[in-house]
Amino acid sequence: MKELIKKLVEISSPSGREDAIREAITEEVRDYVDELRVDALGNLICMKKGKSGKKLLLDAHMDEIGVVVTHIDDKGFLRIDMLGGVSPYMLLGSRIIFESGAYGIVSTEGESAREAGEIMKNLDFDHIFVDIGASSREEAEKLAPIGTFGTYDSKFRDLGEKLVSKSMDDRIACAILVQTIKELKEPADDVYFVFAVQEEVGIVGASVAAFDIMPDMAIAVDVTAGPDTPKSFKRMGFKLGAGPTIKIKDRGSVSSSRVVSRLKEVADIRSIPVQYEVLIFGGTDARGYQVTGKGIAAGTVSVPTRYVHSPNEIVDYNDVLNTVRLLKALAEEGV
Amino acid sequence: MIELSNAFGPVGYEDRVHEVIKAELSPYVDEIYRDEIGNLIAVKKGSSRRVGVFTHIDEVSLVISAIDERGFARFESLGGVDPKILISQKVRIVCRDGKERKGVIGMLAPHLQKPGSKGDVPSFDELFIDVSINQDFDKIDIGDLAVVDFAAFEMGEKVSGKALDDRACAAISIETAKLLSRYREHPTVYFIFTTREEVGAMGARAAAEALEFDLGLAMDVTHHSKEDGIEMGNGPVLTVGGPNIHKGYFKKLDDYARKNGFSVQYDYGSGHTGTDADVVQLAGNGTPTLLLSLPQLFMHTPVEVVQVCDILNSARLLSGFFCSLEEVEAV
Amino acid sequence: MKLERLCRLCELPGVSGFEEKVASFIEKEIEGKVDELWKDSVGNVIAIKKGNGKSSKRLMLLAHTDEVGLMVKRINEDGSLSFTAIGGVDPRVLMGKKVFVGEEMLPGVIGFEAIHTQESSTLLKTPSMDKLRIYLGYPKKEEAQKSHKIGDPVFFSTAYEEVGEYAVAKAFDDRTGCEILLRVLDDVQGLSLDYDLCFAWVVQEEVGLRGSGIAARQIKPDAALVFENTTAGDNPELPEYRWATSLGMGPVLTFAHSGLVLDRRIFDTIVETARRNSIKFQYKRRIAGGTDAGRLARTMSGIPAGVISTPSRYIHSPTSIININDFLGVAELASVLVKEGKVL
Repeated sequence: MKELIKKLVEISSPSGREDAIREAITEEVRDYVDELRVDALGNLICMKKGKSGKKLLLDAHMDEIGVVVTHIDDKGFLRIDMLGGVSPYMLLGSRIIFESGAYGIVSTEGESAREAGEIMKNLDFDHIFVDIGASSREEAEKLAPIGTFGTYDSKFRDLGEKLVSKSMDDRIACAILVQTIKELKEPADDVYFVFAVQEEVGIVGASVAAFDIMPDMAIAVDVTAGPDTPKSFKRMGFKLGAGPTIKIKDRGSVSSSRVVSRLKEVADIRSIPVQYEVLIFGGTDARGYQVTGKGIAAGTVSVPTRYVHSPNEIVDYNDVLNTVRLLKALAEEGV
Repeated sequence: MIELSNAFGPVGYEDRVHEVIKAELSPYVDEIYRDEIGNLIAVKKGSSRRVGVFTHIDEVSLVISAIDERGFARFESLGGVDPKILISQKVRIVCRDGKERKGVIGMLAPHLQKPGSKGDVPSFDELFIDVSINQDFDKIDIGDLAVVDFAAFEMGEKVSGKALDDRACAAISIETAKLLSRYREHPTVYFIFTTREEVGAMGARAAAEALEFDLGLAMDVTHHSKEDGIEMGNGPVLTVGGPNIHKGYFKKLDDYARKNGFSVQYDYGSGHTGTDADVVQLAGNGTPTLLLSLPQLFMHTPVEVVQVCDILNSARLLSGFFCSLEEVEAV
Repeated sequence: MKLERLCRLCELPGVSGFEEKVASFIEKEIEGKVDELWKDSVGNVIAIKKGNGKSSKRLMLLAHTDEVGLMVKRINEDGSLSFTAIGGVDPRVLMGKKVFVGEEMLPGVIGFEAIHTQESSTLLKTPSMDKLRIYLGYPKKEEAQKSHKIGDPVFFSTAYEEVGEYAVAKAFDDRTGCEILLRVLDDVQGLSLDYDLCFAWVVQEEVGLRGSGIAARQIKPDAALVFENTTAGDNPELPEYRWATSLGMGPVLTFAHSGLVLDRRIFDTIVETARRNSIKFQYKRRIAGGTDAGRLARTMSGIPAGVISTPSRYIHSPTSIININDFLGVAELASVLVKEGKVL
């Protein structure tokens, strides 16, 4: 599955500009699904038919966090703003790849040592700029005009048991869903696979994708933190390598108790290692599904990931494989 | 109300509270069921006019987020909890294996504290639940839920206990259902005991969408505050017509109250009200919404206080008001 | 329940200066078991089991009957009560608790402003005790004044509970000590000791070690053993080297605490006795806190003492925890020491 993951994570598709990733996913799954459509917002919705008459919805968001050019100065330097939760500290020294093909390097202001120090202590987007190698406004405008979107420029690397790349959030889940689509032969219920847009800027796609479907259960597949590094948050107890997590709650939603118990049940039936997760920040597409129409029983399955929202996110490959097994199991056993 | 308060019902896991409500309410309603998202809905059939009464039964609570080998657990809150009131509390933890276990949220004695820390209260990142006292604490896992172990009690004409936000109002719903049984003509009233109000009112939103009402009335608690003119014992609080509250229905309710000698108090809502009313108004093609509040002291602590007469008077007001709607045209 | 009498002792109301109910309970328990029994002017309960005369020496066993609590200092216009602490009470342990007020034990609550109306900048600031209030439901001052007055004692309301090997309650400090003395007394019934064994259940330790000196002057012992309850710091917020003591490691033997180094000979005797009888024990690993031994050392010509304690987590709060085995270890050690009489 590593080739599939590499292919998906390296695509640069920030929130609102998901065409490239949508095409890549469509190409992967076209021959394995019974129905496929793109809705008004750009969500990619596929379906594999089952027999029970019930509906299961599995979701992953296609977008990744990114930046957008907001200003160009006389010397050809750019100002940017964030799309989703981008930390300016993570951008320092990073490369950005823009949809126009230009590359940019991020740095900070500071007209004196004291000022530079102050700025570093409270870094925000007002005090960083992007250098794309242009020497004038005109040149920059040709390379990356205002309104150009960009993402981290970072390559996939296979470290053996661990994999590292940008946008494991949430391409790892996209890869997991693609793999599930390919491996799933006999779903019990109709299984809808939603590749949603604009999760990072406000759970936009997932708020409406299910309106016409109204499944019996909706499960978002996303990344969660990896609090198993030195002196990391003592308040969170899950870790990499112990299996996908069944989320109890985060700041976005409290998972439906039905979803939580069904997932655990299915995991036990098929002997798949799982952990429970309480995330003390963050949210997922589950929140969007929970409040769609009359309400849907919704929850989240997460892949523990270190350094989320940095250019280098790390997952455990076994966790990824077990997530595929878990979702397949749920689709085969039924909601 | 004491039984309701003591029942274990953290956000998203209110089944035990459902049992208490069902036992009390079943004889007075035609139907009672649990919906997809976890609300408990009871229907009292009547005319073609449809009224929805929303009270939430989830309580602010804690969920275990990590646990070490020595039996000290870390936790996150479900709903807004002030860390100050958690210190030195006993907690009840209901675990996945069905067993209830005990814990203490401990506070260091002064001699061992870091110098200079007396002025600060530990944040959620520093608090812990001592569950080592349970021999099988290794059976406690992430996701297990805990509430403060506080037994509600009567204090003169008042009751003090946890979760009176908003189960005291659930008690008003139950009383209203009982009183409606005495009337020959009344609207079809849905009593919706909602889930997840404390984290964004998802329960109410789903129910309002599914059921479509002519009038939605939410009930929640509000702060007893002499300066604001809201005190326990002075009757239900009506939020006046404004962005979230339907002016026409408010006038009817207010007129009914005055004409029939009810003592009421007033509150204002300049935008959304921070209750189930927020989402009820936005349901479907828009639902006329009212908000009735119960004055309460010490909200979101284990020692919330309400006055019993306010509950009974609110039920009398509502049951009379609903029936009075049958005599007039739609607003 | 394993410790029935300790349960009853812990649940009795007895803040410093108001220990009467605890004293009466103890007096009833020891009636007929001692040769002399009296209560002095401050409320200490003193009892003597006379020896067979072989030695003229006297050993005093001591525990304090008082617990920390609160006292009403003002009745406010709105009917709530303002209060101050009796003994060392951290305001942070008081919020969201039920308490009993006055000799009649009327129930009230110490609430706190709802989180919604607090400023986020002060959410994690410790409120001063002056800002907290006891609320009993009175609408105004006149109503409250019918049942309450300035100076009324206020007690925590925690019910004693056993969970497996542990117990959770208020006032382990120092009802565990009181119970140890009662157990020793039961143990020596029918025995003939060479020396006079004296028991002192003293008052007002928490407000300045006030009862013990007075009791000692009436008894005039040659040595004393103080049975206390001491703080266990074993929790995840403290690094191990700062714990002082921990639960499950047995009775705590103190070689020094704030204001006193304990008599060396007595200390060594206690340690040797514990070892010889295979009683697991631990040392108090910090020079913190004080006990009545500090008062005894400064009474008359100075009374040497030993201190043996039951470790307890979260002392001076409404919810403390002890390990029952640690407590029984103290009881066993006390019994042997008394029977052998080597500390004298």
